[in-house]
Amino acid sequence: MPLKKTIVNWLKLTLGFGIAVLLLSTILPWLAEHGYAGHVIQENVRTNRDASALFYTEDDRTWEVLEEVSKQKARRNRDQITIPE
Amino acid sequence: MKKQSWTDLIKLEDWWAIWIGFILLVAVFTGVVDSVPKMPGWAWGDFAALSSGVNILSLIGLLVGLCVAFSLAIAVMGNDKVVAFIPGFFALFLLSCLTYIFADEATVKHYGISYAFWAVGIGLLIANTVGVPAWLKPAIKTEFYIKTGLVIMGSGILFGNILKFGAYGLAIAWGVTPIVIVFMWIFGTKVLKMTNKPLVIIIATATSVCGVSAAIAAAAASKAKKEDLTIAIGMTLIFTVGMMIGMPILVANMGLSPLIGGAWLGGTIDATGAVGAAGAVLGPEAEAAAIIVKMIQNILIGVVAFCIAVYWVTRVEENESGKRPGFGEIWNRFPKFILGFIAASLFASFVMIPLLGDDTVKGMLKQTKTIRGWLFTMAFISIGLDSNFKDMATQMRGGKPMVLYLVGQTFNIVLTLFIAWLVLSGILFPLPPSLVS
Repeated sequence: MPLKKTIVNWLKLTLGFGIAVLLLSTILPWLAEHGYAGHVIQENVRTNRDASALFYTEDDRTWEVLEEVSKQKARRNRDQITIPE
Repeated sequence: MKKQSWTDLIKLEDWWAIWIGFILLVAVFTGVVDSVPKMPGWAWGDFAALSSGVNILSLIGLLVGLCVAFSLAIAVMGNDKVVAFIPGFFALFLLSCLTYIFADEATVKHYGISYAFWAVGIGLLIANTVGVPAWLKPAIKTEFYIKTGLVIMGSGILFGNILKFGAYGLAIAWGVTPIVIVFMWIFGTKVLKMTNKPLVIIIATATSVCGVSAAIAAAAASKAKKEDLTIAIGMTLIFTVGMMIGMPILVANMGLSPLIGGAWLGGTIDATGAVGAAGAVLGPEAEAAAIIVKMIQNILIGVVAFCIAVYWVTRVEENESGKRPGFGEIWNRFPKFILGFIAASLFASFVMIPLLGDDTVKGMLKQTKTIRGWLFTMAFISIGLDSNFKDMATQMRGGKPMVLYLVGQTFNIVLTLFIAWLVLSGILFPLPPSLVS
C-alpha cells in the first residue's frame, strides 16, 4: 500500500476515535445538561441510572425491582407490592 | 447427505460452544469461579477511577482462561492453527477492554449507548480505515463467540419468573410477540419482497422480542451473514434510544394509567435497561409493570430461536434446495447450540434454583452475565472487523430494511397498546391489584 494511503487511513482511524472521545467528553454531557435529550436522560443523570443493559440480567435495577416483587408477594401472599424509590 | 458421527461432538463448533458454555457455567455454579473481572465504571475527567478500578491480574486470568478454552476447541476441531489464533485473540481481548472503557463511561450509560454499539463501531472503524491485519484474522470467530455466549445467556432465562408475574404480563408479552414476528416476516418477504430472508427474520425478532440479544439468537439460528446482524443491531440501538426518550412523553400526553403505560413500554422498547429507565420516569408502578412485561417477553428468546432454526431447516432451506429434507438431514443442519441454550435455561431454572435458592443463583448469574458480556463484545468487534460499509450499503439499498423496521415497530407499538389496554383496563378481566401500595 502506498505510504500516502497508509497515512490517510491512520488519520481516518485517529479521527474516528477522536469523534468518540469528543462524544464522551463534550457532546453527551452538554446534551444531558441542556436538556436536549429529553427528561428521561435528565432523570438517568440525576439518579445515575444505567440504561444500556441489553438483557435483563445485565441491569442491577431490574434485579432490585424483581426481588422486591418476590419479597412483597411472599409477605402478603397477594399481588399488592411495593417498589422502593 | 453428510453422515452423522459421534466425532461430531468434538469436531463441530456448535457442540464446542455447548461444552465451553457449560464448563464456564459449572465453574461459576460450583464456586470455582466466584468473581469475573470487568472494566470499572467511570465518568469523563475522573481518570483515576478508571485506572484504579482495573484489576489487571484478574483480567489476565480471564484472558488466559478463555484463550485456553477456545484454543483447545480449535486444536481438536483441527480446521485452524492454534498458534495463529492466539496472538489475534489477545488483540481482540484488548479491543474488548477498550470497548468497555467507552461503554462504561457514566454519561454514555445514561444515554443507553451499550457495548454492542462501541464494539461494532470499533471493529468497523479499524476494518474500513487501516484494515484488519493478517495476524488478527484467525481470531475472528464471530459465530463461535456468539454461540458460546448464547449458551451462557440461556442460564439467565429463568422460567420461574413467568409464574411470579401472572397472566396479565403473559398475555401482553406472549400474545403480541408471535403476531409481530409473523406480520413482519410476511411483510418483509411478500410485500417488500426482500430476498435476504435472514435479515428479515433478524429485524422481526429484534423488534418483537428483546433487541440485540434476540437479533444475535435469530442470526445464529438462521445462519445469517455478519452484515445482516450489523444492520439489525444498528437500527435497534438507534431506535431504542429514541423510544426510551419519546415513549414516556407519549404515555404522559395520552393520559394512560401507569400500569398500561408501563406495560406498553415493556412490550415495545427493545433493551431492558432502556425499558426500566423509561418506566422509572413515569413512576414506580410503571417501572415495575414495564420490567415485568419485558422479563416475560425475554423468556421467549429461546423458544423463538428454536422455532426459527426448525423453520429454517425444514422450510426456507428446503425451498432453496427444492427437496424436503428427512429427519437426519434436519438434525444435521439444525444449529445444535440452541439445545445448549435451552438446556442452560432449564438447568438454572429447575436444578440450580431448587438446589441453591433464588438469591444465590441470581448472585451467580451476575458472574455468568459478565462472561457472556466479554464473549459478545469479542463477537461484536469481530462482526465489525469482518463487515465493510460497501456490503452494508448494498443491503440497505432501497431502504427496505428500514421500512421493515419502521412498519414492524409501528405495528408492534399499536398492537401492544391495544392488548395492554384490553388486558389492564378492566374491560375483559378484573383490574389487577396495584403494583405499588
